[in-house]
Amino acid sequence: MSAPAAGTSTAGGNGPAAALPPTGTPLTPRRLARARRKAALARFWREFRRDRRGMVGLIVLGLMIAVALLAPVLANSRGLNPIYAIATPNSGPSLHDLLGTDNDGRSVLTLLIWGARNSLLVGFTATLISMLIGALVGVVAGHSGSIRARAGRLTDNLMMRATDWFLVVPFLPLAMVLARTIGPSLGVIILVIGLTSWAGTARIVRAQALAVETRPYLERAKALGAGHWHQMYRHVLPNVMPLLLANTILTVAGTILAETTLSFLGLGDPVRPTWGEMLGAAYSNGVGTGNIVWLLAPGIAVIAVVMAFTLVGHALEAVLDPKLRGR
Amino acid sequence: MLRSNSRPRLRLAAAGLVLCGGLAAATPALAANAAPAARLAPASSSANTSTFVVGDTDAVDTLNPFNGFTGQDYEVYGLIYDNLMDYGQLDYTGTPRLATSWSHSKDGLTWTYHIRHGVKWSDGVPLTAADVAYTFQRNIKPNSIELADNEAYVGEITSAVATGKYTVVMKVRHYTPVMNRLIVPILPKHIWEHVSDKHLSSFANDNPVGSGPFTVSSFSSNQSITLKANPHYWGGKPGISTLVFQRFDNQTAMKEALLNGSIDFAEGLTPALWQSLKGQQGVTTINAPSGNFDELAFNNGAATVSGTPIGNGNPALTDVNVRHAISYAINTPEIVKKVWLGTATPGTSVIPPIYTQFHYTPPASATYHYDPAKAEAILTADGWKMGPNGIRQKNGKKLTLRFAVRNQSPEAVQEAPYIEGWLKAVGIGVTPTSMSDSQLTADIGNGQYDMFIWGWGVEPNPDFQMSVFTCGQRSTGTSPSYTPGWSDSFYCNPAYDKLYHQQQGLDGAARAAVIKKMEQMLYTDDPYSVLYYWNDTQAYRSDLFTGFAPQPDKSNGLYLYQEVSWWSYRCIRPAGSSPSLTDHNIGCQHELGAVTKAAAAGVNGGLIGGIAAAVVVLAAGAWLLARRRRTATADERE
Repeated sequence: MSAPAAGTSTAGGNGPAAALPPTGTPLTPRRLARARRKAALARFWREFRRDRRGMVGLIVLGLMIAVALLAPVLANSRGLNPIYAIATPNSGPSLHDLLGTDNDGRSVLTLLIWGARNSLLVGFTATLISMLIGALVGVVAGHSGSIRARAGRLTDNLMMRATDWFLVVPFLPLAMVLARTIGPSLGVIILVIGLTSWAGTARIVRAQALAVETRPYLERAKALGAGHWHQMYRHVLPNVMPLLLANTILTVAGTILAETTLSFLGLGDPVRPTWGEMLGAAYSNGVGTGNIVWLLAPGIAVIAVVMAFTLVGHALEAVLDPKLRGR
Repeated sequence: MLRSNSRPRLRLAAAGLVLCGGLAAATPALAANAAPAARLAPASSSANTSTFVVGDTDAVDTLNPFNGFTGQDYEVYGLIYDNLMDYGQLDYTGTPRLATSWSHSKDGLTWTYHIRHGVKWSDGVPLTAADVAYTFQRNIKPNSIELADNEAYVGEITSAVATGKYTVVMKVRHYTPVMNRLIVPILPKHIWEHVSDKHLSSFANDNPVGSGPFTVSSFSSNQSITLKANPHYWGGKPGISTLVFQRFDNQTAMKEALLNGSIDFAEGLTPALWQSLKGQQGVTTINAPSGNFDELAFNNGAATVSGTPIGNGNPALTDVNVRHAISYAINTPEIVKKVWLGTATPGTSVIPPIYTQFHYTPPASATYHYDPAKAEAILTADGWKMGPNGIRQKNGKKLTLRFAVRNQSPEAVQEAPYIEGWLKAVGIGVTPTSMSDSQLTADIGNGQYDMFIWGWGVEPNPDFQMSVFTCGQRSTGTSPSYTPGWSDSFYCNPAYDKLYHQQQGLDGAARAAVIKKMEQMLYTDDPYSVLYYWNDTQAYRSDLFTGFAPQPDKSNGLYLYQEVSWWSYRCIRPAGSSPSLTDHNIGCQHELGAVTKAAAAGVNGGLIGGIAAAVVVLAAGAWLLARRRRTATADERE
């Protein structure tokens, strides 16, 4: 990446002084805050850019998201319907079908492009659910845990035991049983993954929240009469946010992998194909007949996306958590 | 009849449950490893001791014949127990098994059966008419589990009495041809009289005492079962000493097991895997037409038996024109070609063509062939005008149908986008929804569906299959949860019901004529679009075993898993060994001559193939000629 980010050029230097807006405009608290945030973002971007692996991940991720968004432009959706497929089924890569065809004669590339949509959709939505639950449980538990009153300790304890339970129960069997009982559809898969993958986040957020709780400014807020909600929302949450963000990115990798596993095992929604569905279909219909590309294509795509999310996530973590720097 | 009709459905359901158990990833390896262990004992070196291992995706669930429900359950019951008759290997007529002969009174209400002499149970106790009478008495008790299980056979019987040591007399309410084909396992009285009604469903029967050609040696529910040849079998000792049924959760693993010799027979392979086994040395593939069909079923207006409408089916499907249009819009040969790779035949009526006596073939002019223009013309004439987005509408209502896709069936999943595409092409919107079999069963019972793809296994006696379309098979009970009958189309036509009752009192050509008339009625009214008849794709190690008795007796007959029949098991023997007790061993006189000769010669594979093919063609020709005469006499006899 050679082009400098917009933030850096306007800030033009280091230190808090550089964050001040050009002279001549009146200083208001809002302006100040905005300028400060802008500078922080610029600093963050500079740090992030230094992480080469993180940048690779970001580029791959950007490409994948672009492909998913541009699917209707890149590949005609008619290609998804086998009745319009005229190519030989299970044929290898050719100029016409770069990745060959599946057992219906559909282009594997078309399936891959459209599969990206559903796979990423599941990944992001499930992560969102997981993050919401994880952040809520983590912040509430952390905040209650720091209260002296017995009720607070009890809340913290109950929430953490529930979290432990979700941490200990093996993910796959639980997800499979849930997916099986509720029924096979994309929505259910999203829900199941979201409901089973929040425990780790909750733990991390709680630890950070407990640390934040001991800081003097929270004591000050309490002294000024801030309620629980205000403390959690205005003071704890913003301070666990960076950690939550890094964790989110890492979780997306996990949820995409989880969706792939469930779909591969036949618990997904065959009506809205994802990469996992493709893997499952290729495994049962393509491998036996030697159509390896059909299996490899979604496999590599999943690995690439998961890898990209992991790299970006770790880079974010390193930037946001100074303790991890230099690793 | 419950058992074989429920077979393909339950088969698929069982396959789905495997995944549910979380074993999918782990068990293929386990299963593949388990098979060689089971085989260790006797190698095929000695002709006297030989182990024949069958791989199937289905497994024996229970050895209590009243609790069984998987196809594999019934495959094993027929080997442990004897029935009074078999479905003939050649033409599915009732042939003697435990009953050597039988006759009925002039009014057809009293039937006398003569039981085979000198038959012993596997514990040494002699089998007499008392056992047979006991079995039927147990099966006809009103409201019993036994009756529910075997009603299709014993439903008309009012009494069964042993009038002599080897004579049983049964009385029936009305004459029924089923009395010529009583496929009910005969149980030993001295064991089962100690099993009370209360304890029947919990009775494991892990060491069954039977009179069949095999006895149970070891059994692990839903995994594998090992059977030993019954040396005292009245039909002669089977040609193999041990028979193992090994379950595979993964078809690719099953194919590999066949190639590396862990199993000798693979049942129900996917078309792709089956095709990849073609031409492999030492392996023979069988593409056998069977009694199965899959249909695109419509909600013809769900209602209870009393006629109260239920559910939320799209009323458009109660219009026969819409159903016709759909049938014309679907390109079934394309599905057969691409999804089934030629291991199926495009379908017409609800009785598959292997039952030549009963199958109805509509005239070419009336057949629903792929003709989207005609489909569009029918819809337009019916008032469905093309609306925006390419979806037709009538009186402001869009022609959009919900389509339940059974995610437990790989074929249904693969076929769904085809159906969707073809229907959209003529202006019918389709909303596919993925569904589990149990969920769909409940939805069908409650009438909450528009259409779905599922199938039936039709047994040689068409009575049950025809009953599925009678008014009495619609749902019963009250809102919100209705008890489903067997009807999954909610077709109800008094004229059809009348014919159904009429055929129950007929046999032979007269009955066949009525059955065909009913099929024609169904074909015209189109409550289902019968998509295709799928074949049973099997493969076996022809370099190791020979002596199969296919049903029907053709090179592409069913080798194992025949239609409620068990011919081959008594005759299979290691390749190279001489036919043992062929004269004595029932059924083995029909074993496929061509296969035997080629395998015994032990020449190179390609040559064998050529010779075998030539011999098969000749044999089939001769057999066809012979059969013509045989069927004719069979018809007259009945």
